[in-house]
Amino acid sequence: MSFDRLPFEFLPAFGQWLLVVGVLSALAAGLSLVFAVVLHGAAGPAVAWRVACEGVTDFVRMSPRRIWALTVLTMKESLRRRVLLIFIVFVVLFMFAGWFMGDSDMRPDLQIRNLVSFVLRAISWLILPLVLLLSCWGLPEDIRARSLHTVVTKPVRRSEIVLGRIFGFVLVGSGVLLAMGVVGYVWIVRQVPEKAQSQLVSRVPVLGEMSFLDSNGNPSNKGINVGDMWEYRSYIEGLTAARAIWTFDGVDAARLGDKLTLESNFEAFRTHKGKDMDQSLLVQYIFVKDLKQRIVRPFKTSADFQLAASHMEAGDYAKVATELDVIADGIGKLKVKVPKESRQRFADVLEREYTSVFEPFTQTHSSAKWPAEFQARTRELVAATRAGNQKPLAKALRALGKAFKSHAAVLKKEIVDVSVEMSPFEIAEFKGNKQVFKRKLPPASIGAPQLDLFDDLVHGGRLRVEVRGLERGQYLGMARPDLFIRLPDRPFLSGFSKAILANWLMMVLITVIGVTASCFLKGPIAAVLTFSLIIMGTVFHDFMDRLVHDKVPGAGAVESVFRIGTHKNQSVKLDDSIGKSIMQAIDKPLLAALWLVFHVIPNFNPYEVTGWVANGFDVPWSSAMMTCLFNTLAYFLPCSVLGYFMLRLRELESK
Amino acid sequence: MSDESVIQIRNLSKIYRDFWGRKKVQALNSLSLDVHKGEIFGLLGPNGSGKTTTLKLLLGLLFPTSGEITILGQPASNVEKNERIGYLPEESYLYRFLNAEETLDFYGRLFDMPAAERKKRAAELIDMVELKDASRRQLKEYSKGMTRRIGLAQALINDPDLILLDEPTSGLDPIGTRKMKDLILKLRDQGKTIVMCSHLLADVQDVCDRIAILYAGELKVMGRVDELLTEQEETQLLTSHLDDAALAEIKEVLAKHDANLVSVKHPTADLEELFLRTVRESKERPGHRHVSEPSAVAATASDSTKEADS
Repeated sequence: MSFDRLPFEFLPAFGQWLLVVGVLSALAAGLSLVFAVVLHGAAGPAVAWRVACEGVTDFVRMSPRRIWALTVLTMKESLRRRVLLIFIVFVVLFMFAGWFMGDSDMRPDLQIRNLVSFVLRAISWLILPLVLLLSCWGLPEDIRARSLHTVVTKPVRRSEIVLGRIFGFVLVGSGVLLAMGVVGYVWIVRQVPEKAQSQLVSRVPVLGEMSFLDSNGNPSNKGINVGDMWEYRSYIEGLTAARAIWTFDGVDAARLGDKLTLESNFEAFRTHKGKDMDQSLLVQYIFVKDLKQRIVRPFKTSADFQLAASHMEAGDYAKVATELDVIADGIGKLKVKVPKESRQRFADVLEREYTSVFEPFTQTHSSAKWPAEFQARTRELVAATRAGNQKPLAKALRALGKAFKSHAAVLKKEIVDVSVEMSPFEIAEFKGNKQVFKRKLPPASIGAPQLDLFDDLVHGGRLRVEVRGLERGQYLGMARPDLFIRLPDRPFLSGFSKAILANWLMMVLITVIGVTASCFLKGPIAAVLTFSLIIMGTVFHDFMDRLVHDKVPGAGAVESVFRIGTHKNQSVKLDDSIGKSIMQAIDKPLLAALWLVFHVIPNFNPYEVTGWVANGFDVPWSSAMMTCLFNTLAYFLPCSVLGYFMLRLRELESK
Repeated sequence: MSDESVIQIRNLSKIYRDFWGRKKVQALNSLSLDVHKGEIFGLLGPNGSGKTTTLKLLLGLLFPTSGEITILGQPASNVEKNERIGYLPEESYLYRFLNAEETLDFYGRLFDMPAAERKKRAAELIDMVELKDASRRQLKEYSKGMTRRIGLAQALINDPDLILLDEPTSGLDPIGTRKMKDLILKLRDQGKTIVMCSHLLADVQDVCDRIAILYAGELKVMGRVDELLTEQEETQLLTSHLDDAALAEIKEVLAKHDANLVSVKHPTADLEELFLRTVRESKERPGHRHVSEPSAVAATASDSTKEADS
């Protein structure tokens, strides 16, 4: 599984799905036309069109009652073939598993991890082969015994047969899975020792966005690599200006309950040996409200704006207006457009940062006009920057400068940076470090005002947490999931049931693929095909992902053959020549074909959520469950259509 | 019977091909025929003549290589035509793990029939095919005859206008065969159109109005059964109580008109008639047994003793 999954974004995913389905449909239509012409001559196109229209009709006019009849039939067939025996195997397994899994000397969290992993893996390893075999053998057996022939002489559409089969197997699998889930849950709860029961929860993490400051305090996308091949964690050097920065959104008292719980899991890389090895490392959190930095940040993206940025940092907004006027004058006199890349970068940062600063003010200062004015000026400038036309761009810059000048006083009061350094603490490696901060933070010094975490340090639900190490010469390794806000815990059942749901979604996907394959292949072949897709979608998916997204150097098939033949490994740059151009020209369509194959083979990795539950986390909807859900749905419709046409165009009685 | 065509077949050909598209066998060659509403139409022919292929093409289980089929006014590939069709396959290809009630309920659902109607119709059909006592047994426990009967019941679940029967009497005992034939005639009397294919000629002769004989995929003969079987060159007289004098007199009359007397004999019943009569009489007179001639019994006993001694 991925250690850092990003939230599922529907629109880009849907766009990708449409593209792949569109390309596949176009290919299928082209091939069908060719076959139709070969088989029917001049009447071929008309025949192909008729079949396509009948296909649409067959889906539109499906009868729920007939689908349900076929669903019930499939369920009865499965049950009378004694599929429930698998449940007996499961129960027997659990009757004796406890003998071998109990180890009271082990740490409680590790005991829980073993038990949960065992249960979830046992469930998936039993249920998935079961549905694979059922779904792949059902229709071919029906065709072999010719019982399907009697069915198709009734007013049954082939689409109804495909869907009835899918739903039937899914319902049978769901029943077995639910029973296994209940037994597994009860077994875990009974097996976990009394002293570890309190740890049997589903922690709910809120993950943030991560960035770094290097040892000199300059922004950076990642920290130092201390020599690991696996660059999952980046390191910051202790007692320097290096920081790891997390930005959390959605931080408010109603959600967190008047306190902030931060949990971290940092790794240490020591350059000192000896007795220091046994000592924990000191770490410090710094809470920052960085409104001024956000205001300045877009103007730091371009050398032309450096002077304006420095005036902003100094709080001299009148000079900012003057400087922006000067820049606007310069832009007006330019004969060529500003390069697109720099315009794009400026517009993106401007939109993100200014929206995050001024939009919350429209809520908290609803009677004031300046937040809305800044939002309007920002929108104008973003649009003009993206378009790149000199006159509107100059005009928008002047308008923003004017806004800075006219609201200088209120900006000086509201747009400020606040930071609070919290007490250092020692990290415990390889297990969570939980820190709880009350809403009222202790004064930084005697006489200093007491700050409210949510009122004074959070702006628009956003909190910035900077982490620094306090041991000279020692390094702290961090990845995005290593620091998170811990929301109030949910019951263990929450995470466990989501893991069962993920198993169910994977089971549905396998059923859909199995039934589709069985529409045109015999049982054993359909099973081999489905199993191969599972292997490819699990083991090779990441590699294919890197191949098609050009992350593997020398990845083209022809180029690779050439490199093997000439003993040039992937890191050796090939000389620019006609031969290289020809190889790459041939590789391009091959990689395009691989792109299609990559998107056709389902990715089974998102369904692996055992790690979350076994490590005591709830399974997040946004980055895990939604991916599983939409992944399964994405295959359901195309596979049903493919299965339908395969069954529709198949002569059931062919000799 | 009316002249309205329920099935129209025009120049229908079917070639079976192998995986590579090479021709394996031509099952049908330019078959054209019409089946009229309300008639019983028989498709005859030896094994491999194309009877079952024709039925499967009508049902859309096979696709024609060329030619056209219109069935109940719609193309054979149209699923909606099946609403008015009942089909009894050669073997009853049913789900063996279902019982009779479940089977009929399942096929009733496929016709979108409401639950109450399904239940009523299933009960009527189970009664009709005399499977009431076995209605809760799974079909895998049924004998061949019982399977044929439940197969017929499923073919009639939708009260079809057109019934296609593939070897309807295959696997049935003579009583079952008779009942099946009676049922076919009854269905015809209800206005339904029936197409049956069989190579049991007696069955076809008993029930069919018209027949078509196929050979090697080609239509050889088609017409009304009575017309096809009538020998125009011969005349048959059937009388009762005719003595030798009367017979001699008739021979004289025939000689006078130059007619050639082919044979004079007592008429015989067919084997089916004999079997049914025997069963009927057995039911009326239980305990009655056939006793062999004494001399024949003695001879058989003597032979057996000799064999035992040796």
